[in-house]
Amino acid sequence: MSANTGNSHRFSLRQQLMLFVVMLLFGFIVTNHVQSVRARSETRSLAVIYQQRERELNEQIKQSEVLTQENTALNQRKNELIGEVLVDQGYAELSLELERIRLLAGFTEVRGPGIVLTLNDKPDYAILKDSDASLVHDGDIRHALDLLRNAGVAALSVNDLRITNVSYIRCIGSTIRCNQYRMLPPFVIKALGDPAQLAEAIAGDPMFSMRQLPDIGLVVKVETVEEVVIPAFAESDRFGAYITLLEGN
Amino acid sequence: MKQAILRNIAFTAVCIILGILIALQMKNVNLNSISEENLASLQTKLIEYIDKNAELSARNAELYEYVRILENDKASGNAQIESIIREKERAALFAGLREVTNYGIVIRVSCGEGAEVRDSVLRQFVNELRNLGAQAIAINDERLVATSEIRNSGSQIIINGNGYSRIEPFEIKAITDPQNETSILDYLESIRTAILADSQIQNDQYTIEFLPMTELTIPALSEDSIAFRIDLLSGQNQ
Repeated sequence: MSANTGNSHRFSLRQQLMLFVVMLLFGFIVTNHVQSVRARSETRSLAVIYQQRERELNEQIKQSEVLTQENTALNQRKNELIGEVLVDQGYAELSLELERIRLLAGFTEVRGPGIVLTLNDKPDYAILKDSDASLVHDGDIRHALDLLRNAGVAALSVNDLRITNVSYIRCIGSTIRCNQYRMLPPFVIKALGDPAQLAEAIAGDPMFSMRQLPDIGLVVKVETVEEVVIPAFAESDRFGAYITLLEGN
Repeated sequence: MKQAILRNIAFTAVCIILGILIALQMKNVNLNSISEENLASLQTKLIEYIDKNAELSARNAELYEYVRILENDKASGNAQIESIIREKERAALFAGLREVTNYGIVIRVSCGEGAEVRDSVLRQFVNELRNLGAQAIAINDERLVATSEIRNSGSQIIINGNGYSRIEPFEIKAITDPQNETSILDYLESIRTAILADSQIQNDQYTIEFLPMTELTIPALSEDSIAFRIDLLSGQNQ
């Protein structure tokens, strides 16, 4: 009987102790929460604005995708019509010449064998632990493009932005831009040309070998593919902006 | 017994409330991590998209109009051939298929006796000129296009498949905006300083000069140039 009473007493004590800990934690969190809600009401309103802007940005991104698709379709229709009109009126040769020039300018989608090169920041990059070298920089992308040019590439794109005579890869603040568009990692470079030659140019490059060492850990992945699709220059219907200094001379 | 059940219920209720409070606290912590800097960056991105979409909408409207004109031309059999030829010539200018003359900057790169010019120095200047908005660039009168190679091959640097001696000076010509001359020259100067800071470059006694020219001519690149690799582009190799 006394043993039972002793057990029940110990059990009750243990329960009370647990309840005490839980209530202490409860009190601490309630206080902290009330305090932070009061002190951060300003930040909360910032958060509300942030969420609203984020929603607006997502809508704009969707709209941009729709407009870009529409633009591609219109450009395609325009070019088909020009070709048809020229052939109909006996200018088949002019039509072919125009097509050839557009091909050389990068105004048409091209496809064929090549490689897909992916450059990405070190996986699980931690700002406090890892160095800046573990991030992909504009210089890495330019270096890759130069290596591929030297290996006989016929057409190039970075994150589906066609590289043309006037393309640049530049770091502005924390973002990298190409053809006036913002790009985010991973950076996917598609290259049309001899797959083995292009892959070797990247695999055998000492700078990329060094950038992949465990301390730096940059991702440099090369895949050879039977067909890469390199899109047309997205601004082919307003290329005049890039020849303002070349016209009329 | 009854007391024990009540105690258990109370304990469970406290635990549930505690869980909810922890979740709320976590949410609050996440919200607190949003700074004005994050918001500013998001707003910049948003403004960029709004501008880009406005520009795309305007371009699409123009294209709709042009397509309508072309459809009418096709139906009437009366096309504006002149305007198509003009458009073709402008595309050829963009592609680097026509000689161009205008204001520009010449960068002359040479090195001391016994040393050789490096391809990387030329590539660095070409990349920077592209960043600076150059609309046409040539090295030793080899017009550069999107796929032009600039690479060392023994005692030569190969550009568009043609070799140039590395012991001779190299001349990079670029057509740039004359209105930006000061900022372009300042920027190029900073590149020169960075290049010359390299001890190996110092040993090679490099000389890098910038010469703004009121008129310079950059030749065209032939359609048959190896740089275009037209066989690969048009799928003739498949």
